[in-house]
Amino acid sequence: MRRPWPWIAMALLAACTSSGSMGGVWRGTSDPQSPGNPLLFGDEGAPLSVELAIGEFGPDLAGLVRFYRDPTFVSSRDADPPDAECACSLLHSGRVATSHAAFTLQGCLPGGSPGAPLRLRATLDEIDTGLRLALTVDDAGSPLNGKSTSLVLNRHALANEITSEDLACPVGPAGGNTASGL
Amino acid sequence: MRPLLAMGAALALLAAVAEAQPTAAAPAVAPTVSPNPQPPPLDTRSALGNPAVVAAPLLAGDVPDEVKRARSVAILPFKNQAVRLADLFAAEAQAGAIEGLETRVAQALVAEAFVSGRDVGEVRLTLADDHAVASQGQLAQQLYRLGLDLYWSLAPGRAAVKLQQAVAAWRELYQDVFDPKPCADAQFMYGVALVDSGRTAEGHIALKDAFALQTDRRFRPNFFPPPIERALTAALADFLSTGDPLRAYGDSARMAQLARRLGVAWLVVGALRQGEHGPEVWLGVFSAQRRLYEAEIHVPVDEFEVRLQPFLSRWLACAPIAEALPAARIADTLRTDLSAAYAPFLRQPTRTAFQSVGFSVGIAHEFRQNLEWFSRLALHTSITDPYRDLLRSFNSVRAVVGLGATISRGPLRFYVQAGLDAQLLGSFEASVDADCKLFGTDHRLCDKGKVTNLDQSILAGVQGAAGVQLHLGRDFLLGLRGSIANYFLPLDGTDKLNLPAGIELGLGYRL
Repeated sequence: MRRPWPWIAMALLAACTSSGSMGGVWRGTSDPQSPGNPLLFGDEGAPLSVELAIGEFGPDLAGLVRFYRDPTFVSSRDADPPDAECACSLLHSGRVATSHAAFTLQGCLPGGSPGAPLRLRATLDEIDTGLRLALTVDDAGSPLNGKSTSLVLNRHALANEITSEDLACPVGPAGGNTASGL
Repeated sequence: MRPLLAMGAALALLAAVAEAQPTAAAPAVAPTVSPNPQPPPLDTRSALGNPAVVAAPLLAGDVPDEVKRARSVAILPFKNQAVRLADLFAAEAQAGAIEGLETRVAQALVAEAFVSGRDVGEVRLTLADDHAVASQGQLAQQLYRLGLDLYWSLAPGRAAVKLQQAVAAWRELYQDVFDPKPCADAQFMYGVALVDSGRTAEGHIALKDAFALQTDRRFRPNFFPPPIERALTAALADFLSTGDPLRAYGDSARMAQLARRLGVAWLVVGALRQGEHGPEVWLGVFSAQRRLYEAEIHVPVDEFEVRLQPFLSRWLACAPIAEALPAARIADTLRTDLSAAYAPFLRQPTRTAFQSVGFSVGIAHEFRQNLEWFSRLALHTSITDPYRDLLRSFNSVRAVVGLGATISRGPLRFYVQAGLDAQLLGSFEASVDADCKLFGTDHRLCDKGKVTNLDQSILAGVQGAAGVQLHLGRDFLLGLRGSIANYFLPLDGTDKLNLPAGIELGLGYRL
């Protein structure tokens, strides 16, 4: 019989350092034709791809969201760089409850947002096929205030597979609607 | 006869050699003051259960006073057998004289050097203070009641069975020693039931045994029918003429068990009995190790005071005495061990506890009796907590030095230790900020105020520990040690991470 100690130690280690089920890299593509999606779309109403890198630490959540104008990244991670003007936004105030998470975003939003930085509320819910991301503009000064959209994200990488490149989010001008130029 | 003489000569020669070399391991033979045969060699180590005792039977003259161990003696309740047949169906006798004799013997024993005596009161208390007495005593009482009911229901045969069981249950508790009346009652009724059921010979023996338990027992006249009264009279007459006054508590095996129960090596038994010229005191000293009476006397009561001290002195001069090794010989012992360790910090900067496990090696040197210095070195690995507030696992090295006090009890050795404790932490960094955990502590989102950085820090303080080692055989030990430390250095670095506890379990070796 094989010695069980290494397996027990690994199980113990895994149990002690579990990072939850939402941690990892998630990707999805918005459907601009969807009537419920007034916020996320690319040039001339093209689909917009979203990548979410999440670290889950007990009740806390941290991470960033990155936007792509070409959905090819889904099959090849580095096929296209992120959106040049609205590459990413960092997650703030992330909290996790069972199968549900919430956080805020502060920054640009490709698609329907105006040029000024937007504040958004976001929720994540576990579903059978992955996560459902729901975004709601929570910015009283914006004409988009109260508008929301949602899309389904699929897991692309596990929590322990997140690399430093996944987390790179250079500081840049937090623009608004980079697609419409508003 | 010739072989016996030859053996005697050989033993005398061995004794002479032992006298010439007092520290030699060759067993000497202790002479006795009684006509008992020569005893087998005595292992005083097992007798006293202390490994610090030399395993050779020595007499008082062989052992320097400074290393003599006190002989442990218990005085059993004396028996008042100074009764007359004519008084069997008269009023109860008084036992005052017996108590006076017990007290006098206790005083005489205490006055002797190197004797640790337990008087009758202590013996009764020790035997009665047993959790089994309540439960099993109740069972015996029920059996006794049942036996009486059966007897009064004219079923003496079945009554005898229950009464015999009651006696056995009480004797198992040594009730006949610390409070003989219930046991004697049951034994008397057992004998009566046997006689009543036609088993006269067995009944006679049972009644004789009952008088051994309580010789001064009296009965109301005409309470029993004449055949029973005759049987009682015959049994008492038989006991007074043939019963051994000093064997009332049973055979040698039971006496040895009783001594073990009391935690002593010798038992003193006594009885007051009517002699030809008046009452006589019978006194005997039973050795649990040798399972025989080492000394016996019976003297008239008025001579007892004068003869007691010489009798005890004579017995003590010839009784084996254990030698405790001088401190210098049992000290100078080096012990090492290798243990698995679990060492969590009781004060942590993380919201949920992170665990630290590892191993430790230790060395302890007993340089004086019951005093040792020790040193331990441990290597621990701390793994991240469930929230990963501890940003990464880290290793730490810990060293402890200090002094300990020890005490040994049979195969167990207990100790308490106090010492200086220093711990070198590895890459210890903790934060409750999720951004610091995901992006790193250098990221602009990471709140540096929420980061505890003790990277490569040395924490120092004091440690207290307690433990026990079990001697497994030869020189191997199984050890269990618990500890707690409090760090106070550096002055500003111990408020977040402190109070490391420790549980260590391992194997050791005694050099």
